[in-house]
Amino acid sequence: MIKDITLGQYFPGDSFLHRLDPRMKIVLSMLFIVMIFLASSLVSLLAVTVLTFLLPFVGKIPMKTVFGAIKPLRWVVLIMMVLFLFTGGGEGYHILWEFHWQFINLVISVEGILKAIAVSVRIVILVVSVSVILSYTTSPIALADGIESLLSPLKRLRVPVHDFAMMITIAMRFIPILIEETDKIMSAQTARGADFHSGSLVKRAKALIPVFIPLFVSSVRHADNLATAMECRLYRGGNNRTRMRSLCYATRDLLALFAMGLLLVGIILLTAEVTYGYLGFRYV
Amino acid sequence: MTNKTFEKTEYILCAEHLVYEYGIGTPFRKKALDDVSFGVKKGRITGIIGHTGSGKSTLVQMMNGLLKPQSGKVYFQGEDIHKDKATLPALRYKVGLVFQYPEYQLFEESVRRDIAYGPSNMGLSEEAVARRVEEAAEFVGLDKSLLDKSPFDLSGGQKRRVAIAGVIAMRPEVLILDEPASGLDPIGRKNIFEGLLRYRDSTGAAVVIVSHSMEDMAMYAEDIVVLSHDRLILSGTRDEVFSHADELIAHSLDVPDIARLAARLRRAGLPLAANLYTVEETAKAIAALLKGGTV
Ligand SMILES: Nc1ncnc2c1ncn2[C@@H]1O[C@H](COP(=O)(O)OP(=O)(O)O)[C@@H](O)[C@H]1O
Ligand SMILES: [Mg+2]
Repeated sequence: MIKDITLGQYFPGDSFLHRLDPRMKIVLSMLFIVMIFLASSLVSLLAVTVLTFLLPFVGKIPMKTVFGAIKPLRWVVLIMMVLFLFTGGGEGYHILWEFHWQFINLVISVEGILKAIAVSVRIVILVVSVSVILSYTTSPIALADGIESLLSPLKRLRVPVHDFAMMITIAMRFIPILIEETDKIMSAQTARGADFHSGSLVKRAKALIPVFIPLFVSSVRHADNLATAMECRLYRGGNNRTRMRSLCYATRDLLALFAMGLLLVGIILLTAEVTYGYLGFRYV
Repeated sequence: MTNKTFEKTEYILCAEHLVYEYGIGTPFRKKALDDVSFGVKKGRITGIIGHTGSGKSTLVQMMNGLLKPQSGKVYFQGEDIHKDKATLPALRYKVGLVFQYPEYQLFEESVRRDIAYGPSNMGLSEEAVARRVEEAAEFVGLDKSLLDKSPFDLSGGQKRRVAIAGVIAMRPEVLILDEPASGLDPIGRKNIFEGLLRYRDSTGAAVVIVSHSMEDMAMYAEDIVVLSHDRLILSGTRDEVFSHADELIAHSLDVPDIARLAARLRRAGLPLAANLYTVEETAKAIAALLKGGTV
């Protein structure tokens, strides 16, 4: 049941993306997000979409998994669609249908439809690209290391970066454990006649009490055990701590950054004033 | 004698050609059970034994419909349990399942209310529930004075017994327990098993015990099912299964220590019977031989 959530799950492998330095991947995914929002002409958005769906091939992630990550987005996309579809009024727009009554102004226009599609596409490719570049191909531990390393300049300002990263690492480490435990507790209570799927909302919320209390107790137990174990190994924060695997950039990281830079320039050119006149609508 | 075809009516609960795989469609795909068939008889104690990861927990979760096999069928009283989805909740009261480490599922403010959770879900009257709670507590040997305490204040062994009572209170016709004694000291183990025997003796229910301890199985199980790496390798009465010592050892499962000792004595020329698996039985047999002057 709960285990089917694939968003934010590491997919072990040995692809080009897997081997990139986590710091570089964080930077790359930020640049990719920038690129998605810069792509404001129809053609450039199309190009970014194609690029996004090439990423799973680079990372050797099955398409099925990628679609699994998109599926939970369908409601967000639907709401966005409806929102933009009916508010498509604007100067010089090609209006297809109008409805005005008191405060309600519904306008469907060609530009509105394009905007609705563009927003939906952006949401989808945003999730896919970040999932593939970061979640699927980076282990949670590597990710936390990357975050810590990128934020380490803040240490000068006395921001407890190490503790922050440690907290993230621990939280991520325990997510699968807690999901598994939730699953087990739900099964056990189902065996005692619990029913999580029918009845009124109040009834269903109440049915979750026998799940949440044991889960809470067990979280506290895990935390306690972990704290004891860390204490026993004399853990005391980041000062003078060395790492087993220190991060280190390689040629492929530079290569990836270079490629990303080229793509970014390409997309900017595709979107720029000189080209959109020939290549498509500006309004997306 | 493995995977024989079943006369379904002979068993209150039986499984036919069960196959189960986890994580289909992910890189973590893992076969947990492959073509497993066995049956459970009324009034008997059936042991399911196998190493960690051999599929025991997966198997028992299929017996009350929590997991649905990818292929194969489970029959309760001759009826396919997945034939009508609406009957599954009612089935779970008849086939009671106690998970491994059930004490981690306690949640109520008092022991009494926690045990009452199952029977209350069945829709019984308050008096009936109260009666069942006391009865279940008695089966597992929980002192009445504990009933109004918080379950979180009890010892590990007591918590375990509260959790088991929570399922016994539904008065299942088949009571299945996944490693009910794991992590307990010898006295705690004995308490648990004796409670289960009491339940079987006074209700005539079938009891299924999952374990990886040969000693416990030799002591309490009457029928035994042996799993090894997602397959069923042996099933039958205790004597039948233990007579295949070679096969057990080939799957590094071993026979009980005392059975090995008896075998050695037999090889040394002592006329001991073949079906000795517990210390008590063996001691008695040797004593009888000594008294009879055979040695
Ligand atoms: N929820 C799950 N997801 C994926 N694999 C699982 C899950 N539960 C069990 N398995 C795998 O299935 C196999 C059988 O497990 P299990 O039935 O728990 O065995 P046992 O109870 O005999 O130790 C093991 O290899 C285990 O790793
Ligand atoms: Mg198990």
